[in-house]
Amino acid sequence: MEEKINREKYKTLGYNVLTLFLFLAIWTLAYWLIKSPFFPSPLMVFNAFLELLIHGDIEDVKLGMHIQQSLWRIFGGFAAACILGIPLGLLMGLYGRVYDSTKVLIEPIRFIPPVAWIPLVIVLLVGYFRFVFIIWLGAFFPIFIGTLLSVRGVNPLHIEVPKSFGASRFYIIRNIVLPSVLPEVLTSMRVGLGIAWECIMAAEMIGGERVGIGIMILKYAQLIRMDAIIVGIIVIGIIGFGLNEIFIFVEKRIFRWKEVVSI
Amino acid sequence: MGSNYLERVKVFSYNLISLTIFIILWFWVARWQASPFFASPAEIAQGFMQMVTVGDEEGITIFMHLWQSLIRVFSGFGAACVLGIPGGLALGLFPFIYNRTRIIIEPLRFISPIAWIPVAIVLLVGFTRYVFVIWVASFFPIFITTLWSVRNVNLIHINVARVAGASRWFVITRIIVPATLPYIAGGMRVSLGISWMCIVAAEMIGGEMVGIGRLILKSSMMHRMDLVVVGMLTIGILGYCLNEVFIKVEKRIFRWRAAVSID
Repeated sequence: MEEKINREKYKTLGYNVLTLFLFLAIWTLAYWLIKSPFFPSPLMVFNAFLELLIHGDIEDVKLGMHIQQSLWRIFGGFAAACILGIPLGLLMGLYGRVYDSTKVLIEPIRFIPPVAWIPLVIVLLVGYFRFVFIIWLGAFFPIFIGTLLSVRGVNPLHIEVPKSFGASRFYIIRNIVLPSVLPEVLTSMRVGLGIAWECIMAAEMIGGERVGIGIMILKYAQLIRMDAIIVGIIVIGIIGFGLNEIFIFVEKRIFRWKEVVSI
Repeated sequence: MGSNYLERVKVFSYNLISLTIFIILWFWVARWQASPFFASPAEIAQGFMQMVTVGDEEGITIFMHLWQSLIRVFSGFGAACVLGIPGGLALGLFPFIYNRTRIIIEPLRFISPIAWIPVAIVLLVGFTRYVFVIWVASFFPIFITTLWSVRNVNLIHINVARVAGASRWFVITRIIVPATLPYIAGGMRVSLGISWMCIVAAEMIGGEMVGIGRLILKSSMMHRMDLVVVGMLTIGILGYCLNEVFIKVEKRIFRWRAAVSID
């Protein structure tokens, strides 16, 4: 059984590598057909990647530095979103009336895109907080709403049974509500992290700094160096994918008792 | 029925109260800050009136901005539905395709639409640029939700029909599609919200004067913070309304399903 699963895994991996090669082949073919200076081939992108990695960009900032700086910003915003979103979601889930009464404020704010906040952020905040605020905006609502819904979705039977045995409110929250919402809270944290990472471009449009993966893309966009832009795009995609996979792995580890972890 | 109505009036008035408290707080903060960049609610109301009657510096009223933006958003969203639903159904029915092309699909999912802007500017022209950027954002939620809903169709329902001699086509049209429809509708709603939130990102492409995102960008360059906030609030409120209308329609169509989640 184990062996069969392993073989299946290797087979999937092999097919994935094959697809990747096929994709690169089609890309190269398209490059030959289009022959535009704005459509780089995979090889040119790879060269740009090496150049960025070893020599750095036009301002001598290496790709690793860009990534490190962006990750640092993301984790600031993501941590702020978790610290505010999880307790607030729990609270509003437990006291549904609070959410229902403030819906008219919360919901429209949810639909204001982080990018639209940039002008306000520039005039009202300074330095690192600008980035943290924009990323916080992106990550807060998925975490908050996910936690809120998971509290509302706790099986009422699990709450009623201890209640009828005389359990206190605190006991029910601690021993029943919290454990049963934890997997969903973690899932919404993962979604929040993904969105926070997607917000990095928006946050780094604020400008004023020279390091950051989004800033790198913007710098090269002004020079119309498509190869470097695509390096940036691919790096953002792969890091987002990597963060998500790590999170899924951790979720599966911690909540082994829960069968399904959805993507 | 009577108490239900009473409850609704109660929730409505609580919402009204929290809105009033919020506006009063805002007045307070604006007075305390006394900054030309922190607009008070009165200034924003004035800005809104100006946008309705006169329009912005170029004489474009808020309705024209909204109309243009809605056309762009719905074109991108339409493209995402047309590609995402059949794509998700196909890859859900043949999961091995998804498993084998995961290495390409998944990283693409984490690239933010803004990062595509330089590419869209260089490779596309005019209206298709907006459609592409919005499509990039709204495709994946529809696609992934459809894919997962197909995978999560109750196997018993499929096997029972098979045992009774149903053809593959019958199983797909009579069992899988109806079972996945509510999830697809939910995915569409999430996508519509995301594509609406992308409007500012898409309209950063520039070259046009009309669009609600353009309004924010134009006003921020002139430090007209009141108009920036008018734009933000308009986006937030309209996004909220679109979502609510969609929830209403969902509840109507899928009345047989008890719960429609808000996220």
